[in-house]
Amino acid sequence: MKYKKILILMLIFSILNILFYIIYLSIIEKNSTYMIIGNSTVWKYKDNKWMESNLNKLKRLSFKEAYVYNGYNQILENAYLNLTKDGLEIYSKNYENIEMNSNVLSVIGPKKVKVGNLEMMDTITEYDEQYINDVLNKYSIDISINNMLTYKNVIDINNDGNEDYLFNISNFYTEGEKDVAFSIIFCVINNNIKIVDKVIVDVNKELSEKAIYLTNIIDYNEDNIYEIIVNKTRYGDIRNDCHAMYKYVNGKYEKIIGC
Amino acid sequence: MKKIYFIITILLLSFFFNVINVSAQSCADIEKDVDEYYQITDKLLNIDCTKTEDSKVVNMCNDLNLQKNVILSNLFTAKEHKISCENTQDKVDVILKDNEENCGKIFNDTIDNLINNVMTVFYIAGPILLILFGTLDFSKATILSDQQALKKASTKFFKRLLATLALFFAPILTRLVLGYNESGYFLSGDTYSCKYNTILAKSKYNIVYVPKSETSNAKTYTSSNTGDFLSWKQYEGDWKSIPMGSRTVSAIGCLVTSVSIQVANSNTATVANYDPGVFITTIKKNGGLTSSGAFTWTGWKSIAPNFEYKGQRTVTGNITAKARQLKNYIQQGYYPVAEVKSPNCGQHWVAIIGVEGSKIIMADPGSTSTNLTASKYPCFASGSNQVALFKVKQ
Repeated sequence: MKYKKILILMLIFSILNILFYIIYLSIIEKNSTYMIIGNSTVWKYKDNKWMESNLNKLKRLSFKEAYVYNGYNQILENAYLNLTKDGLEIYSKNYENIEMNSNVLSVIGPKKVKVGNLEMMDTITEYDEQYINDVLNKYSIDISINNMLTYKNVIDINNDGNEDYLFNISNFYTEGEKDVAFSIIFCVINNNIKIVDKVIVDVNKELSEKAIYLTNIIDYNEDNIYEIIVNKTRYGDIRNDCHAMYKYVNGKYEKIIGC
Repeated sequence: MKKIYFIITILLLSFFFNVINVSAQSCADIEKDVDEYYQITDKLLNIDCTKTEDSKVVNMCNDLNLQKNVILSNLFTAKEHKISCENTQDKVDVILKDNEENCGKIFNDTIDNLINNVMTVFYIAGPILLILFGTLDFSKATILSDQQALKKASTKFFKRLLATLALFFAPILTRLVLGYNESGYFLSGDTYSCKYNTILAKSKYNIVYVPKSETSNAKTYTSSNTGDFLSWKQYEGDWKSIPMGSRTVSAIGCLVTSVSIQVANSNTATVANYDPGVFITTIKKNGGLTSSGAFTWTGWKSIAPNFEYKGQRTVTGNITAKARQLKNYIQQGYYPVAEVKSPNCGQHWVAIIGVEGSKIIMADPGSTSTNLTASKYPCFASGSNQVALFKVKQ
């Protein structure tokens, strides 16, 4: 009798387990959208909220169709993601291996994401130098513009019809003498400088602090205002890269998810 | 009683889900399957699936064969269910003919018939026995006018009714459980399987070293004869905790470990028991590290006097283009150490050991990977990256 009871319980448990996964995948997960940044960070978007997730989720999402953006507005629909020991691999519907780059962003789920073009289409002008110097002065950094990496993007960030500028300046790991190591991402919106994120450390800590780099510009909530995704990484550390997303709220940038 | 209702609900739900699960294929599905079948066979024709030493090829062949199996299973099942589509019928017939020797039902007709016959006996005998035993129990209780026996007979009858229902639902439940995942789908007995089997990778490592001159003696290193240096990691060994500035080799020693690997690779170390620990301790003594732990590209003369730093170059383009440029450097006799996470995603260095076609073979102090791929280091897949070059003094 006891044996029968155990069997019945096991049967019920198995059925419940199956039902749970059916319900979980078809109902609970139905409205979830996963965003995978590069080959390491996974965020889940559900009910207007962002949540941290992890690459293990991809094992379950491997056979679901994904939208893949390469950071330059090129979109690949119906792609498939495959998680290997070396990282994330992306395949087209025809099983062609799509080459990753550092700005690859993949989306699985019902939510459509608009991705801005990261291509640097403009050179640094005198006006840009002024913006950069203003930011450097603000943080009392004395350095020539030639001794740092500069990135500039022209984009209408806040959807007001005017061109805005997005800058990423950094002297992390550059050659030459320096007192401080810095990495700053900022926007110039209607001539006003808005700092997105910054890392400024004594040069002795250059190798121990995480530097920040612009990774993607996206609009996930269809308000035509771009959110900014940055990558944070430490010298020589390939395991602990992380990303953060910033949203423009009330005239300043706020972190909405990430490290 | 509540438990019973619960079980009945579950059984009904199972039936409901199963009904959805076994819905028939449409012509559009078949058309899609036919297209995919041709794409897969084209791809398989272009891949040498006998190359079992290359795990990537093996994985690709396995995946393609798995997809081929699924498609063929669908097409055979469609035929079984007499689904005929005007547009694709000719193609389907050809595909099925091409594969009939390799494909068959998981459970062949004999087993199928046996199971069907046994189940038919159960289906007939179950209700008969239920009615027979039920009638006996109720008659006995009625004749004896025993209230207790009547109650007992009702309970027994209900239990037997459930058992009979379970008997009828058993195949459905089995299909649902087995059909839940992909492997189970093949085991469900209602599908076909083909002999396009999974192949196994022969060996884990087979690193081909590209020689310095184009002419020659390409040396094939396997895991048994590569020497230890290809597996030196910044996070292992006695050297992992050697301080570099305020941190350790384990944290920021990728570049120095990579250079120490190339010293070993060039066979220029003049000391016994050479390893990254010896290299780092030596360069520390000779100004090879700044106070913050940054490498100054000097300091190893006393242990590898003939190993010279020749400056840095930039490699550009995608992985294939970079592979070509690195191969050039190797053929010119350089030992490259590449920055794989620059310029806009940090910094990490690996020793480049060889190039095979567009495959870059690396010794990565930060991981166990041996191929420098875009999925491993996406920042190396586009844009420009620095490469430090070393050469043996002639």
